[in-house]
Amino acid sequence: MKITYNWIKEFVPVAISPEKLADKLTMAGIEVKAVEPRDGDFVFEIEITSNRPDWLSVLGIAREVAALTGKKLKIPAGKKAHARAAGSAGWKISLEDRTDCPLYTARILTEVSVGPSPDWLRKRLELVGCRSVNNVVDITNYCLYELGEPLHAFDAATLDGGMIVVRRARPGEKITTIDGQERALNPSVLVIADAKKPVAVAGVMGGKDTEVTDRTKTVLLEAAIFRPVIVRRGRQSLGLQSEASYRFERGIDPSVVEIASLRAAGLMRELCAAQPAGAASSPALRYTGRTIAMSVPRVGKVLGITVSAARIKSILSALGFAVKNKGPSVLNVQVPAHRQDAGAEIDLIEEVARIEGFDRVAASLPSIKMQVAHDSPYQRIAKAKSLLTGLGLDEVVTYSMLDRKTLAGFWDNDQALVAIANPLSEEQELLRPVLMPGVVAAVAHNLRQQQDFVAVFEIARTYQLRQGRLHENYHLCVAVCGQKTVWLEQQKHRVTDTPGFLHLKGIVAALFDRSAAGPYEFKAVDAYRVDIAGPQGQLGTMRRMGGDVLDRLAVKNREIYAAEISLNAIIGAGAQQHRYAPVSRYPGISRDISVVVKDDVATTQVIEQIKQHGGEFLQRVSISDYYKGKPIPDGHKNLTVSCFYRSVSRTLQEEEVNAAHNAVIAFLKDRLQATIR
Amino acid sequence: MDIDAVKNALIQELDAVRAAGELEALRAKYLGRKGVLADLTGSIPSLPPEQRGAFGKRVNELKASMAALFDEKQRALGIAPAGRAAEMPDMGMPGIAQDVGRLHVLTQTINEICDIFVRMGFLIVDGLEVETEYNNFTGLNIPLEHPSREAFDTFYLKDLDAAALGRPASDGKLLLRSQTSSVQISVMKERKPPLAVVAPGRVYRPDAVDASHSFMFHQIEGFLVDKDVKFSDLKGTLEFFAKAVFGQDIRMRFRPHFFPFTEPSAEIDISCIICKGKGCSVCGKKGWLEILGSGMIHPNVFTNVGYDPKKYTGFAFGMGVERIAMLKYGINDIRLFYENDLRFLRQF
Repeated sequence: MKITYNWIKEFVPVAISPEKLADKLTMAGIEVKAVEPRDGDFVFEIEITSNRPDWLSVLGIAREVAALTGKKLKIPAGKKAHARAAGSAGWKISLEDRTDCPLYTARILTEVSVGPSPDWLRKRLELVGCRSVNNVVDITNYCLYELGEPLHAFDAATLDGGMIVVRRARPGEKITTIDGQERALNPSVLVIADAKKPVAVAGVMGGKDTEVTDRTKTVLLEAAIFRPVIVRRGRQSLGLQSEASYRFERGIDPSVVEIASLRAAGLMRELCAAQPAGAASSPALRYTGRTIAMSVPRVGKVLGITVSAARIKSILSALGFAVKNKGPSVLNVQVPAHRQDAGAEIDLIEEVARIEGFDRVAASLPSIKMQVAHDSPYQRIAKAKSLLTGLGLDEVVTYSMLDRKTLAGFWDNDQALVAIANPLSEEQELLRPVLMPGVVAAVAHNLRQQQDFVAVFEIARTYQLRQGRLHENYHLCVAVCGQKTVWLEQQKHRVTDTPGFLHLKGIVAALFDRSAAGPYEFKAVDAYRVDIAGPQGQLGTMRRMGGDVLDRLAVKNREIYAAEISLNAIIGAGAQQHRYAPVSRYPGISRDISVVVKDDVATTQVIEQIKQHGGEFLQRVSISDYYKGKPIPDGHKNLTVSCFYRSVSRTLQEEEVNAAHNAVIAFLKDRLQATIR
Repeated sequence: MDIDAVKNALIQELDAVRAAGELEALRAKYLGRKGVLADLTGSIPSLPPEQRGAFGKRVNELKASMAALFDEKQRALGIAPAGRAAEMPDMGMPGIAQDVGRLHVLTQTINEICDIFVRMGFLIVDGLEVETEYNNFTGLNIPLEHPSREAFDTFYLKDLDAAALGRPASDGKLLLRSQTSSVQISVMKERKPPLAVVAPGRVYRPDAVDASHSFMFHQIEGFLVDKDVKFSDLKGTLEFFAKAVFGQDIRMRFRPHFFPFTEPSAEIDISCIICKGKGCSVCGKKGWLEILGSGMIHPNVFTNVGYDPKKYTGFAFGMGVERIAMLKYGINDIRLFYENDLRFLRQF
């Protein structure tokens, strides 16, 4: 909202510079965004919070300035005899529903001479961003900015039947608004009508056919109050917004309706030679402000500073509240018509804090009670992230929403998808059931930026619908792509590492093992998919992206591998139990076994079996060679496994190791049909 | 051969050595393949079997003491151990190590901020992103038909209401939380005061995307509820926070503002970290940067969660993580956070 320095001064004497005033207002909650000197005045660009409709006028801001500077506010007189005339001039007001329109007043002015506004009026309106139309319309706008009550002027000659009816629009009714647009109305819209037709959308905009023109001689000046919600619905339903609707939606001060109407009539008499000819009104609206009991010590308890009862009284009185002592430390505070936002003691405490100034409150530090920090999901996730970065992965953050196109190839259960009701664009169509599409897209972005090697992860929520319940679960997605080249000192050359399924397996296994998340198993499904299974079902999946996905992401000559797992097992895992096992101080003995096994015998299975059957001295088992091809028969592989034996209590004898090792060999031959080479 | 004599001869000869070359010649003479030590070792098989053990042992001792003598002389001459110079790598080559990945700059910012509050005694809580109208609005004292709802434009979920989260249908439609303040309601409904909580996470608003707007971003909500929490405590806590993040030298101001769920409410500005308050393009020539919204928790919020507003007071605050990261690191486009370009991510 715009307002000018000189205009404020008409309501309150201001002895400080525009910049000082702007600063004072900002620090009292009326944020002045800019001060611009123009035409011998200063235009303040102000941001008004939605709880303070009373600030949407010069009068409201001036009242605040008076309270802040200790000056007296000059409230304009409401009863200007020369703007009044007895009788209703034959007009009738009819309200269909008083909750939609609590108050409607109409003032009739005759012999109106419509023409351009005088310079001072035109200029002042321009300063606050309002275009000049003619003297009559400009006067209604002037009063809106000055007093916060939107007014409307009809050409009375265009109204049929000598009556104003405030009612809901009937189905099929139409109106052409002042902006020239024809608009279809519906019963959620409140209209002002004459005996025959709607002539204005209540509180939003007037009709073209009844507007004031050069030919207008008699004006019907409307000053009313409409229910905020009904104005809001009308505005939304017609897609129209105006300075009037903005104020009606936030609430109008009932005490200012007549003041504004008389102020406008007075100006029309002065500037348009208009003659007051009468007024009609719906039954008067009685406002009885609620009374709030305010405890003086409570102010200190909430704010942390002491404010005396006298000071509280003077602050609230300056803002228009009526304050009386009720007891030794209790005040009875009556809320004025312009402050219907104030409904409870805390609202009054805020007023005291605002005018007193937040600066007066010295900083203190609270005493915070110790709370038990559980091993929370947040901590589990932080640990997982730390492990993953340690494994060389960069963290990415991708959008939680996506469209069906992007999801294609990653998800096939339509029933589980959660859709956004009001997306702004296609990319916000769905909540993602899995992270992989977004993470893989992030990889593709980096490939297009000519990165050779990308290894990233994301931990975020996924959203799936199962049996009518929405499940918001943390997932991890890891994606790797490209080639990593390392120069190695010993070899004196560069080694190229091209990540694939085994890299993903290593990362996932490290995470599960470190989190004590329970058993898991990798099951190759086909060349593009490996499932990760746990005792309770699938934990996740690893995928090599298919051609369709790569084409869609414009990735050429590259393979992208990605793993996605649910983090439920990790978040839900019990605290890890570590028990100390003694560390041997004696030398150990290493033995290699070279075995040929069928391809379908997993290498990890061979290792596991050796570990299980290697006896108490077997401490380490590792693969030292893996070979396929001649002279190994087709469908077989040759594994060289190193076994390291060691005792915690003595130096082992050759014979003891041989015995253990032979047992392993016998077992491999017998149970895994291995050939020992 | 007399073993002691060999040792003494070596000691004398070493004494005369002045250069590296002489030392290596002497080493060959005593320790080389055809040197004195080799002769001694070679003579073992020719000894009577009962003497072999003892003699062998003495030869080994001699070998060790000769090695020690050579090392000592070598150190005295200040020469590198023989033969090792060639193994020295070119230290101009890059070091060899596993590449360590990085946390996203938003995660780093969240961690930095949360750590400050954790040190003060706050607990980190993780709220849901899909919430009910009740937790996101009504419980926070935001009435359904109030224009303040417009400031919180919200994504709603199609055809789903609170029942899909196992809550009463009266909690309303499901939506993507538009603010982490929803965590206030979910936490306070579950636990009793005293409470000191920070809750970081994603929030969503249907904003058109540009350099400073995104339909998804991150916030951190914090709140403290106890029997004697005052506005002055809010000031102290947030001053501590702002100085920890932006430096001891910054100045702060608390401006009255309006949020439905706090009263009094304050917006908090810090002196511009770019121009130090003189006015520049980052702060819009005002010298101040807005970084936080905050206030004393509204009594209606306490009533909504079943706390007695006469007994408890509390404060709450909320901040945008992207905004703070952008200010702190001079990032000028919010979209960079979600593009995930490694050249961007690896700068932090």
